[in-house]
Amino acid sequence: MAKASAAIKQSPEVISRSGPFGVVIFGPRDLEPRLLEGSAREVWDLLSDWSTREAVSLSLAELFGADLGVVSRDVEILINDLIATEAVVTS
Amino acid sequence: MTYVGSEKRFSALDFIAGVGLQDGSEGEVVNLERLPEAEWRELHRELLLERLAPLAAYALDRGALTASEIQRVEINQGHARSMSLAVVLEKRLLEVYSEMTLAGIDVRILKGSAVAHLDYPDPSWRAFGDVDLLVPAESFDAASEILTAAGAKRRFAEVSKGFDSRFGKGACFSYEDGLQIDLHRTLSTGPFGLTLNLDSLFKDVEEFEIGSVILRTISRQHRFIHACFHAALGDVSPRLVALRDIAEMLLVNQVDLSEAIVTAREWRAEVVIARAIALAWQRLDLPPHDASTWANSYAPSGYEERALRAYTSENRSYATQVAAGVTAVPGITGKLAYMRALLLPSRQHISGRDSSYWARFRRGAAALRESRSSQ
Repeated sequence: MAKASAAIKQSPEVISRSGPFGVVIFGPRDLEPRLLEGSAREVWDLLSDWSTREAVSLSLAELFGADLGVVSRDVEILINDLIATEAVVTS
Repeated sequence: MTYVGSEKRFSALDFIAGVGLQDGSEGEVVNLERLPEAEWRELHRELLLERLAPLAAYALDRGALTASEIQRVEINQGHARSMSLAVVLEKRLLEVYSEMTLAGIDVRILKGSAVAHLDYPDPSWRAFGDVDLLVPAESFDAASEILTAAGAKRRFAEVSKGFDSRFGKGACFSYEDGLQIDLHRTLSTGPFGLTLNLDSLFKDVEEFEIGSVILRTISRQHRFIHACFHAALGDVSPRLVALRDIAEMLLVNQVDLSEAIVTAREWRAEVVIARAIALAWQRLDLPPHDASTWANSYAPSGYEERALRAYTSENRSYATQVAAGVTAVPGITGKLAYMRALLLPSRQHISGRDSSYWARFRRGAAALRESRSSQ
């Protein structure tokens, strides 16, 4: 698992499509495509450039006016999953 | 605002297929909310069949289409499903492309994925249902072996040994998971597939990227001509997305029509371009344009009329198209080899398409008669 402060970014190897529905991504180690909707899509978009889990959580909490602690936990789970399938790379 | 009632159901489909193409249509809005449930179901089914869910979602997003919440959800779900299929197909495309390239095959991506990435403002606007690859004639067998080794099964066996690499359009391969790859030697079955310059398709290259892999496709002008082949010579009633491709390339991407016509003339296929443009303008209800004016006034040669009949007559079939190809095969020796292959096909091919040699012979002879009587 990546360190909490490690820089993370979308992998250039991901195949994706987006639209009003959200974004469909197919990471290098995914067995099938994954649909990211709502706040998960926001996380994905925030990772179009290098960022950190903390910065992503902060942006998301501000965007949705939600509790940072709750948002951070959700972001952590999603990002760990994206790293496991190599949809997100770490610096 | 236009209310779409039962008599206008298909015009809503046409409207969606042409959304965003016309400069002056920014304010036009079509309303689906009052459509009776049964008619909405039918329209939704057609949207998926015509591969228009992405354009419908785009039309909703920009306000050109209004819909009930349920309709909106269903359109967006259709878009998401079609894009899921697109990424699955592109993953398979990358695997196959990589294997063929490693084997030294000079492969080109055709249609769906290439058109989505290069000819639309966003690939998420263009749905597709299979992978199309073009390989040089001399590599056709090797490419087929790669697909077979990867678990794909060829739908119909080769007509006879050597037919594919000399005369055939290509072959369709299906995987157990349902994904399909069409392997092409040329762009069409029958006469129009036999007169085009295959070398030029490989000479003029354009590239695009999927998942950090650079892929090769044919040039923009050749993609336009291929889109016309597909729309004019493929299904009796071409998919709306195929007609949209033509309008998108001409109106948005400003493909040079005069250059495309020169190429098509060299390939004895001007009539194919004219028919495709005329179909697109008529079905998408587009305003007159230089392209449509040319298409509607085009006078085909006798050869073109006869060749086109094999694709558009009521008796159109694979057999009539292939039989009509005799006229396009150069030289007496070539014509004899072509006819021999059609009339004396392999046992494997017959078991896939015909019940017996005799049934095959009768069907082939009838197709040849049909081809001659229309000349």
